[in-house]
Amino acid sequence: MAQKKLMEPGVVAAVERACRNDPEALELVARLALRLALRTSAAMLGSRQDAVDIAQDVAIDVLHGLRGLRDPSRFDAWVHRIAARRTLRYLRSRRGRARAERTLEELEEQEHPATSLGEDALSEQWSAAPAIRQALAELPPRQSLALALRYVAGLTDSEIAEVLSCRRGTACSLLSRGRSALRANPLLVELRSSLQGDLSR
Amino acid sequence: MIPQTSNPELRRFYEEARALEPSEGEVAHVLRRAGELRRTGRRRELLVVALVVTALATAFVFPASRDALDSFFAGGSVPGTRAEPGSLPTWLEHAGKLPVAGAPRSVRLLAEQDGQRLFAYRAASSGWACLAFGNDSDTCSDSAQWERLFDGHALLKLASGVGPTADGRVAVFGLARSSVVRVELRDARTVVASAPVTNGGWVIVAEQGAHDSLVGLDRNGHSVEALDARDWTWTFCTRESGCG
Repeated sequence: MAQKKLMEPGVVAAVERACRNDPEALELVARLALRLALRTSAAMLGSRQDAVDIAQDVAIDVLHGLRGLRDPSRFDAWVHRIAARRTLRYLRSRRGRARAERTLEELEEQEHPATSLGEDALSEQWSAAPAIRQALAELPPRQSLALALRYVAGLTDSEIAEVLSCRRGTACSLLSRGRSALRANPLLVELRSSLQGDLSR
Repeated sequence: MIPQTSNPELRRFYEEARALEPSEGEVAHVLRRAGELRRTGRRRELLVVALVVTALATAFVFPASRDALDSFFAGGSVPGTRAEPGSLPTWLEHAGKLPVAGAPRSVRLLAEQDGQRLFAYRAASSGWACLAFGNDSDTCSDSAQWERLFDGHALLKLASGVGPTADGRVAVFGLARSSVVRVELRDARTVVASAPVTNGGWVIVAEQGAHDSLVGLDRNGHSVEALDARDWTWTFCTRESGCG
């Protein structure tokens, strides 16, 4: 799982050294926080460009509040909580709504048909197909976050519940409803049909 | 962890999101911003400490002239430094017979130039704030009148044509807000006399004749306010010369 891979043995020591302003440790901690937040936010927003602003704010919060972290082995969970809070706030903000509207326009104009994401997909311009972004935008933010924490951060139901400050049952329910909503989303069904059509030609 | 969805595009989307990495530039940006915030935080802490120290120091050693004067006008303590014995005007030296609150100790020196002194004291009977100009005269007013006089101004001229000094020059007395640290008397653009503002008061001594303007300067030497001085009294009469 992604989380296990990130939580290297040296992370706890790096967090402790970063608290003492060790430059190398600070860089490592910044990179880890940025990576965790970038992936989760991108999975909720469908765009790296939107997610990177949030991820940078999260990483700055992390470096700023590092001394307040009592248990360095909980670093990942702490970063996820900050990332979740920031991304949810972003989605509820006017800025988030404005960008969602822009996504709709793009979808209507069909300027960017669903593309296959090749090697360039992981570049700084990475962005999901408009249909996926629209489907994500239609999901309630907590469902979208629960899905991102599961499929991108690799958290268990209990860990998702902790990040979302809810019961495990609530986390399971959010995941289940999120999955169902995506499965039933007509945009994604159409996307699948069109791709199959393209392939069959 | 593969999402349980039959849509391959969605599955690929999550896989790709899971593989995203921050660029070196983004990491550098975070470190730079965090460093700036840390330095700003430290500077802010130092600034707060410095401001508190300055405020405490000025409260006890150099009362801010505006606050000190406002407080004085409103019935607070008399600003200024202790007047040297024998320096007070004769009518204040023997204040036992005169209506000066707590006299003569309560009479304090605001400003001085060439032996011309501006004193402050409080009238015993009315409690009004009073200013004395050398050995010449004094004036007392209630707080409302002082506020009216000073309203919207950084400089206030109170008395002119006072003197003469030992070398026959004439003195002008006034008050200034804390933004003014120095006054200059000018003829056109030529500075003919200057004096510091101390305890909110100033005394400037100049040659008799006529002078154009009095300019109040801030600590950077910039003009805060200029008063037209052409109508002020720049001469005085003596018994020897007669007063026409």
